[in-house]
Amino acid sequence: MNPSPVAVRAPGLARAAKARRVSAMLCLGLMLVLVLGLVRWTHGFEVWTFEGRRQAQVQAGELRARPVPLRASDGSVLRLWGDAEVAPAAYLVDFVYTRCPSVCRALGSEYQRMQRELDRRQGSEPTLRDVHLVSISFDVEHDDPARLARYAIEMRADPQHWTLAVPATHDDALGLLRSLAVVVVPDGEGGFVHNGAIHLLDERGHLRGLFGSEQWPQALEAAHRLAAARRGGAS
Amino acid sequence: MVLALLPLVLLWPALRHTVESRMSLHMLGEFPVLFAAGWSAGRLCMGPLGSRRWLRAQRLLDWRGWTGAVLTSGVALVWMLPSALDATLMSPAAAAAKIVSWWLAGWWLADSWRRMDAELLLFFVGNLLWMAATAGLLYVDAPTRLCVNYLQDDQRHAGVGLVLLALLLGALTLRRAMGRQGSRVSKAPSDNIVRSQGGSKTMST
Repeated sequence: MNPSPVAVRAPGLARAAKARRVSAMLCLGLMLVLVLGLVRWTHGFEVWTFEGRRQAQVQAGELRARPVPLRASDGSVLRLWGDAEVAPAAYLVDFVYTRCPSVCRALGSEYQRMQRELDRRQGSEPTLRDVHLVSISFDVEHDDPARLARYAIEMRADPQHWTLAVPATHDDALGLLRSLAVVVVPDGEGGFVHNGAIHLLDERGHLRGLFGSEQWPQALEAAHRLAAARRGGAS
Repeated sequence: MVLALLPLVLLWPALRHTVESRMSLHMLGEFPVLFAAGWSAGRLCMGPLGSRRWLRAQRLLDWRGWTGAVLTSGVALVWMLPSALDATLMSPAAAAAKIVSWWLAGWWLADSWRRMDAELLLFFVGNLLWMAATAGLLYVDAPTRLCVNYLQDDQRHAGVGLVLLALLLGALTLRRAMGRQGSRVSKAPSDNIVRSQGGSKTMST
């Protein structure tokens, strides 16, 4: 015997009313999670790109360069930061590759200017001796110490102020780049598209500031202030 | 079944790298495939492999497809953000979240969309496509790279693709919504599945 339409419809209606309430709560919950998650991820709907998030991470002091072994242009193996006992107190670091025809050349000329400033002012401002310039190649396969040495000559790099180095292994390079949220993308023509910023690191490797290549005077002054504060605090 | 399990191929690093090395392939290839895989699994759940109890539970949580619309809109919104797209390439947790969320959205919507009122369906799809077209135009017009992992040319290609996809899906949805409007009462499944005493299935609205 079939049930009457009323008998079937009543529990159906009750179930629909319950489904409406449950679904409304679920939708509100989902929207709340989405909005709160977006507020957090975008820093209050203001930061939508990875680069913007990176700037926010720098402001919050969240990025620290991994201390990896580096092969310098003179063949020696260095570990530049991570040890507070070792001078210098401030590093201005950029990431390059020696075959680069554009960004790295521009950075190289800014580094030459900073090198000249350091050379000129270190006599009168001794704390500038704690500022060191570092160019790190991420092209581990191609840039060996011999190539870096040729690049250093081409750039007229003075080892007293400016070190050129390459991470010992590909994994070291990747680890170092990742730790500073630097991304290198193959350009499809054998080269790379990469971040052309000057990174200010303290003696522990904490990223203290990011500067465009044209902002090298500000980068140098910020490094000077950091070195003075570090040495002032240590003494 | 094969389509439902297709996301597993992303466990093969070389293939995943190839697909995700281009922004256009990532957004216009991988995302739809993940969604389609979830959709296919959802259809399997409704078919011979399905469980009436599970369907009943899903319909309790998804009155007239509202939850499906909210979930899918949220998933699409999040993965159109340049910073989220970059994060999937640099964080395994973000990559896993992307795969699971797109798959889940497809799985959920496979049942959900058939129960949406035409008004909701048009609003939901229209909103989704408007969002995709807006993101696409932003990617085309941006003077710089918005994603650090992709080149600007690739960004433009992805932008153009998103706009074209929005136009195509918009036209298809409009056609579908207009076509089913007339036959909705007799054919569209409802939120409730009730069983009469004689064991025959009855759909009630």
